[in-house]
This record gives sequence, C-alpha cells and structure tokens, in this order.
Amino acid sequence: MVRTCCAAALVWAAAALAAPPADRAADIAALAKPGPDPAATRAAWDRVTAAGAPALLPLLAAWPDEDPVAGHWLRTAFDHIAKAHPEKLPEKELLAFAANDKANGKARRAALAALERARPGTAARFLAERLNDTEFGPDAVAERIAAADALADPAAQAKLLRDTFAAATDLEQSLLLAKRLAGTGDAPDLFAHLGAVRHWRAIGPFPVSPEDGLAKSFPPETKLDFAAEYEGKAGKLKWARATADPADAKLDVAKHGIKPDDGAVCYTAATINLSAATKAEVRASAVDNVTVWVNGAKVLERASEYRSMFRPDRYRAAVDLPAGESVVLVKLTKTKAEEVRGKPGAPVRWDALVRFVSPATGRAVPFTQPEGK
Amino acid sequence: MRRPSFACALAVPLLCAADWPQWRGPTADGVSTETGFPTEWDGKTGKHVRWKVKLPGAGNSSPAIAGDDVILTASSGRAHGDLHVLCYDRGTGKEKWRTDLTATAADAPFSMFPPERGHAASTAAVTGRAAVALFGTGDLVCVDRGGKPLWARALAKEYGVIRNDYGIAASPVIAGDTVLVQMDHLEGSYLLAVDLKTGRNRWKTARTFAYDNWATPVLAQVGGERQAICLGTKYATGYDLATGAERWRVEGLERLCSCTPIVRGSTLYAVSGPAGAALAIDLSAAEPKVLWRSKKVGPFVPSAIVVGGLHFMTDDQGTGTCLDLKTGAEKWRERVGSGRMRPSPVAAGGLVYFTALDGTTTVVKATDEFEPVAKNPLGEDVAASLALSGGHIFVRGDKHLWCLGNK
Repeated sequence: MVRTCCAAALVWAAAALAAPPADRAADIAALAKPGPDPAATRAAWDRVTAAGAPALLPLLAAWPDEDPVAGHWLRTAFDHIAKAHPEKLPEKELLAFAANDKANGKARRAALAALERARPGTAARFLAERLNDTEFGPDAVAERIAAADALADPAAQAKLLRDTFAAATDLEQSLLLAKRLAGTGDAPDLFAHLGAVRHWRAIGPFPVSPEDGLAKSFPPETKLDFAAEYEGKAGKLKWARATADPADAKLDVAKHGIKPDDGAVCYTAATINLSAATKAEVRASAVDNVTVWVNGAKVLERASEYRSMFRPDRYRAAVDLPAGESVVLVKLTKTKAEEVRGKPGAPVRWDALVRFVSPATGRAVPFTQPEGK
Repeated sequence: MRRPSFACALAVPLLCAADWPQWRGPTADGVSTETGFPTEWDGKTGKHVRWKVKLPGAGNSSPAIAGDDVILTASSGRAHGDLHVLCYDRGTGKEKWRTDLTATAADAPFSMFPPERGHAASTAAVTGRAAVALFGTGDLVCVDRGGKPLWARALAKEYGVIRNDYGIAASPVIAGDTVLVQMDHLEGSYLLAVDLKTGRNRWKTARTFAYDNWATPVLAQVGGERQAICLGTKYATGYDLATGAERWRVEGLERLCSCTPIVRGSTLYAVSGPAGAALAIDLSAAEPKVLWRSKKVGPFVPSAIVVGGLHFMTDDQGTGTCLDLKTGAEKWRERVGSGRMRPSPVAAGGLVYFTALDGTTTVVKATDEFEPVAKNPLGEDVAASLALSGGHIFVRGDKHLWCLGNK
C-alpha cells in the first residue's frame, strides 16, 4: 500500500514537473518538430535551456520515435540543462522515466546518462534490474557477460551465462553467449533462441551469370516442387536437405555442394509451423543478394550487382504468419565482385541466416519444423 | 612548390595560420608550412608529451585544430548509439565542451570490425564560427564554437539506411559557404552539398557507379571551373561545385578508394588499393587526362602525401614508397612501419611522419633517398592521422588524445 502511494505520488510529481508553461511548451514542441529555419529552432533551444531544470522532463517526454533530428535538438537541450544544473536534477523522476519501458528508448537513455553523470554507479545498479527491458536489455546482458568473465567459479560462471543467454535478444550477444556456454559443456539451442530456421531444402546453382541471375526467375519462384529436376552446369539439379550450423545458425550452401563457380543462383526452402497466428519480423542475412518469400509473397529483396558481406540481421521486413504451416523460400544470388575477394585458398562460403522475431520484443517467434517437409 | 590558391580559399574559412581545421589540414594534403614540430617522443616515458587526456569514446577521426580548440568526434555506448563532438583546450587538454547526440540506428553491428572504432571515422571541419561533424550513421551536425547546435541532418532517415560494410569515413569538406559530404555505400551513393549556415541542400548528385569508398573529396580548379573531385569505385570524378553536375570521370583506380587525393597546381595525384597504381591526372583542361600511372605501389587505407617534387605513400603493411612527382618513377621503397598502417602520413619541415596502427611513428627525410630520422613509440594504438599545429603534434590514440611538443 505504501509502495503504491509512493509510486502514485512519484507519477503525480513527474506529471507536475512535465507540465511546462505554455510558451515553454511551444518551444519544446518546436524542438520536437524542427521547422525549416534552424535559426528559429535554435532560438527556441536557447529559451528552453534558459528555463533550467523545470524543462528537463518535458524535453524527454517530447522525444518522438522516428525523428533523429528532433532527437538531436532535444538531447542537446536536455544535456545542456542537466550539466549546468546537476544539483537540481529531479533524480527520482528521471529514474522513474528511465524505468518506464513505454517511454521513448532514446529519451530513457538520456535520462539514465544524466543520472550517471551526477551519481556515478547509478547505471550499473539500474541495469542490474533491466535484463528483460526492450531498450536496456542488451546493456544488461553486456554487464552480465563482463560479470561472468570476472567469476572464478566455473559453475557460477556457467549459471550466470545460462541465465543471461535466456534473456539475450541481440544476435551477436546470443552467438557469443552460446559459444561461451558450449565451452562450459552446455548445448544451447541457438535455433529456438533466435527463431532461426534450421532445416532447409536447397537447390542450385542454376547455371547463370551474376548479372543475369539478378533479373532472371527460376521455377522454384513459381512452383515449389521438391521432386523436380533442372539442368545444371555439372548435371541435374535436385532439391536436397540442408541443415544450418548449430554453432552459428548459418546455412552455408557451399558446404552442401552448391558452388558459385557453377552458377550464381540457388534457392533454399523451409516449412515452419506456428501454433497461433503472429505478427513477426523476418530478419535475413546473406553474402551478396537475398530475396525472401513467405507463403508466396515476396517480403524482402536485396538485388545489386555489387557485393555485400554477411552482416547479421541486415535485411528486415514485417510479416503476418498464420497459424499452422508457412513456407519460406529464399533466393541467393552471387555477385561478380565475389570472385576476386577473400583470401586466396580460403574455402568459398555462401552463407544465409533467416530468423523470425517479435517486432515488439526482438525475441524469437516460436515455431516447429515438421518432419519430412 | 606553389600551392593551389583556390583550394586554400575555398577549403578553409579564414582562420589563423597555425590552424589545422579539417581532415588533412589547412590545404587538405597533410602538409604543414610550419616548422618546429618534435621529431622524437616516447609516450611511455613522457618524452615530449605535453599532455594527454582520456577520451570518452571510440573513433578514428582526427583532431581538428582551430584557435585554442582541439575538436574531434567519438562514439560510445551500446552499439555506439551515443555520438560525441568534443572540444579540448589546446594548451592544457582540458575539456572545454562536449556535445552528445543520439545516433540514428545503424545498419549492421560494429563489433564485427576489430579494432572497434564505432561511428566516428570522419574528421570534423571547423570554421571561425562552427564545427561540422559527420558520423557513420548519417548524422550530420553543425554546432557553434561553444558546442551548441546550429543545425542537424539525419541523412539515413532522409535518403535511406547507409550500408557500407566498414562504415563511413569520408570527412565533411567546407567549401566557402557550402559543406560537401561524399556518402559512398552499397545501395545509393551520393555527393551532397548543403548550406553551411542552414544545413539545407544546395544540391545532391547520385553516384550510381560508386559503392563502398572512404576517400574525402578535394577542391580544385578544372578547366577554369571550380569543382569537387571524388575518388570511388575505379574512378576519379569531377563535379561542378555550383550545381553538382558531373563534369568528367577518369578510370584507372581500384575498386575500393580510401585515400584522399592531392591537388598540386593543375595536377591531381590519386592512389587507391589494395595494390593499386598511383595516378597523376592533368586538370588544366575541361576533360582531364592521365599524365602518368605508376606501377602498383599499393596504398589502401593511408592516403599519400606530396612534398616538393616527391610523392610518398605506404601500403597497409608498412612498406613505404617514394615516387618522382613528374614521372611516377620509383625513388625508394623501404619499411616505414611494422604491422598494419592506418593513419595517413603528414609532413612538415622537410620531414614525413608515417604512423602505424601500433602507434609507432617513423620520421623520414622528405628526400629522394631514404633517410630515417627517428622511430617514436606512443604506447597506444593509433588509427587516426596526426594533426600539426603551432609546433605541436596532436594524436588521437585508441584511448587518449595526446599533445606532443618540444616546448
């Protein structure tokens, strides 16, 4: 009861502090939606910063989600005041704002940074409680990885890594944690954790040049027939099962006999099964070009004559996944530039990684992959 | 060697002679006309170290010096989401002001690129009234000399996510009242000119043939016209500074262009790599022509430097080469560093300073016979290029900003 009353009082206090006079509100609105004349925006910035600490919370509250320029004006005004008046920081209200996961994440970070400047150590204490926070979760994971590194007891280290892995949403952090856990004897399921597709069928390479491969469609795009055969440079092309690497969730089609020297295009296909319809984000990464279809609809495409390196989660698109089975089709197209890069003698890689996550949390969309599909 | 007066007038708003206000200094070529810089130092013993300060973030942008200010950029935090424009007192190293910004979301995680350098690879350009900073996230900001914002742009928001496998490194260039930004990346390269006072577009020209490059544009008079010259994806290309219209394109560079070219009189000296040839291009006519092409000397990341009648460069493994500026003939080829070379060389007082990633600077005489003068350890990695100003050398190390000087 006491806690509830305190929280209510804090929210009331924050609301009171966040309600600026009309003129200041107009100036803050001008920073939150900068007009065409930067001199006018700067004049508003000067007036807001002159107002001092009472403007701090309104500046954070005004931070829009999709306007980095507004973010620059608001952040610099907020910091200017916070640095000029460290003794007047509304610390409890700022901490409450930083903890509010419905507020703008970048504004929350600015609030926490100001508190850390005024009271070093605040961020570490705050992050210790934010492991599942959509904004601060990766920061908390990083702190825990560092803490695990400092532990001398292998069992305690493994437990901390295990707990941290369960909370991690960032792809690189997840890969790092899985690698560390594997070193302790664990066998973390990266596919389930990442929402990555594990079991594929693959076919290729279709005997086409990189230039033609970009523009040309092949039969799998119009009809998925796993029994079909097509002409290849070194004989008939057939669909074959291919499994992604459990160590990094990547599917390297070159390891499955699909060599880019024999053609620039290959396809992979998979079936995933969901228990309930879900709005998801598909995240795809590949060497060079990648096109993804989900249930026959093209959802993302990178098609360029110029090479691209494998970068995790580089291409993203929103998809509606129905309950039951969904079919994922991926076209991979090599570029000409690939022929001259890489260390001489190094094995050619042709990697792809496709995963499905919740757009709200970044956590894996749970699915199964039916046997025999 | 007579310097191009046009380049001086356009590239640098009138500051004092000792300033180093942009990437590669007042004449955009890494050369200082001052003398009295130290030739020997040791970061571990403190020899000729005037001060050093810890930096709040990562980056390989170089210091820009204007008046009493040393201005540089950095990024820090989760996914390098915090961007910094930093100003230090040149005499003491004390922080004068710091402007923090929140980065536009970047394309790909940067922890993949060791050593981790974040989004601050572009050197700020400073005038008497303002500093312009560009970050790899496409955030282009102009602050006054007190660090307060004058205008800001979010180029990734306006023109699409910036996909460069190694990030953006071209520095902004101030040409009179215009700021030039070369944004070469995998999907939609462009050269952008904005008004220095307002940040509004003057023009934007697509570079459809160009992909990932890191060279900074230079200014020159070409066939009587004021132009910006960009290197990228096999070509040197000239653009009318007034309109952005492409005027010419000369082939002969490698696929990846990291090195900023040099203008001397009516000639452009360009290198690219890895393992590319050096080119001399005649700019006296409206259709520039290649004057000479060296054998493949191989500069990749470090830009080259011209001192007198000689052209100095180093490949990424520390093999330095000296060419005759008139003919491209090789004068010498010697080791000037061990390990990887990242910073671009600078020169002053008849000496060339080659710095390796391990922080060791090899000083050699700028002569056609190899004559090393000193080898100076800093004790800290250095990926940024040195800045020369007022008899002091400013070095942005991995963790610290250093000021070196005899006095």
